[in-house]
Amino acid sequence: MSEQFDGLDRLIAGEKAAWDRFVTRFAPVIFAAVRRKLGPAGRGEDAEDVAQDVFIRLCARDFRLIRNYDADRAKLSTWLTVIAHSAAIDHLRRQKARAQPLESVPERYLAVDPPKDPVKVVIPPGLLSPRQALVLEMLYQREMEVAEAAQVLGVNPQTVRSTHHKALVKLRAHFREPED
Amino acid sequence: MSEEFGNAKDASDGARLWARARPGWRALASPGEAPGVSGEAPDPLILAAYLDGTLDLAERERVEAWMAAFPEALELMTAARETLGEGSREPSPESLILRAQGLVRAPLREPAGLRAWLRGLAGLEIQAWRPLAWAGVTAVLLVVSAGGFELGRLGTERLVSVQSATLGDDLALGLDDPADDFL
Repeated sequence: MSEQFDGLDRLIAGEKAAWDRFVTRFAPVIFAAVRRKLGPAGRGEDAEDVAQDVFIRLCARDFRLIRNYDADRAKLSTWLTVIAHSAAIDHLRRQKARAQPLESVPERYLAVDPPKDPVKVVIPPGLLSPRQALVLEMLYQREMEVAEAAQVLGVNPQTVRSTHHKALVKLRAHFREPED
Repeated sequence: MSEEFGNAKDASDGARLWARARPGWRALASPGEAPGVSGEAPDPLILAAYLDGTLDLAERERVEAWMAAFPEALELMTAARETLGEGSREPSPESLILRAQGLVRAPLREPAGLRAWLRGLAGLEIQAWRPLAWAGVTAVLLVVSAGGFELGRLGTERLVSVQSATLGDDLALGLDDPADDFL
């Protein structure tokens, strides 16, 4: 990985100056990730506290999380972005759970309907590759544009179109529908 | 969306076909149902490696299966990708930096000269002195114990000799007591 932080070993060894440099270097990365997640949910004011929680996780148990980082596998900024997003999602989930105590939910919403017989659609394992399923999920369930789906997959839009087409061919064949 | 695909039939059929197939796919992808797919998020390092494009095919498929099966997973990865695309243009608050830096304290300063002297003394790390220190403590304890025992023994002998002498004197005095002459 090209982008690195010089001094991770010294940080893990407990060198205060290395930790300070690490914080200065990556606080903007972590803060941006957290705020991006919390802002649209109306919890932007929590961003600093959640970012602080990320730093607490990083140095907890003698920097256990940082010890698990492998520079050969991913960039440090990418790894920290994933951790920061994950922390922000956890925070939103906790806030949501706290915001609505069970007692405040009207009883009619808690009533459990008798289970209906589900319509079973059997898909043989391997009919769709994970990527094909993911492309269909992004385009139809999430209603993402091809370019957005391509960005998530890290491929060009033509690859998404091709994957989408192959997936539909397989599904048509499975459900015995005529091709084009 | 049809224009994007360049095939109107694909676009119109796609939504219908996926709506039909999706429950089956999700059932397959439920925890324990399909190999390699579970509700637990993969390690953040694996997810970061996916975003950086360094995973092998098997690992990549595992992450994509997880993303396809769990909406929260897709949400996490989409948001992370967008954030990375934008970069961190704005600085973080100074208060965050100060608080985070305060999480790790500087170690207490020890006299650098003393440590260097100890290291140079025998060419050993401080750790290497530990057995010698224990040996020294044991030796001191043995000397103190032996000394104490010896002092105690001498003291007892002296006391016994004094007491014997006193008793002897008493007996002698008694024997030589002139009052006995009246008996």
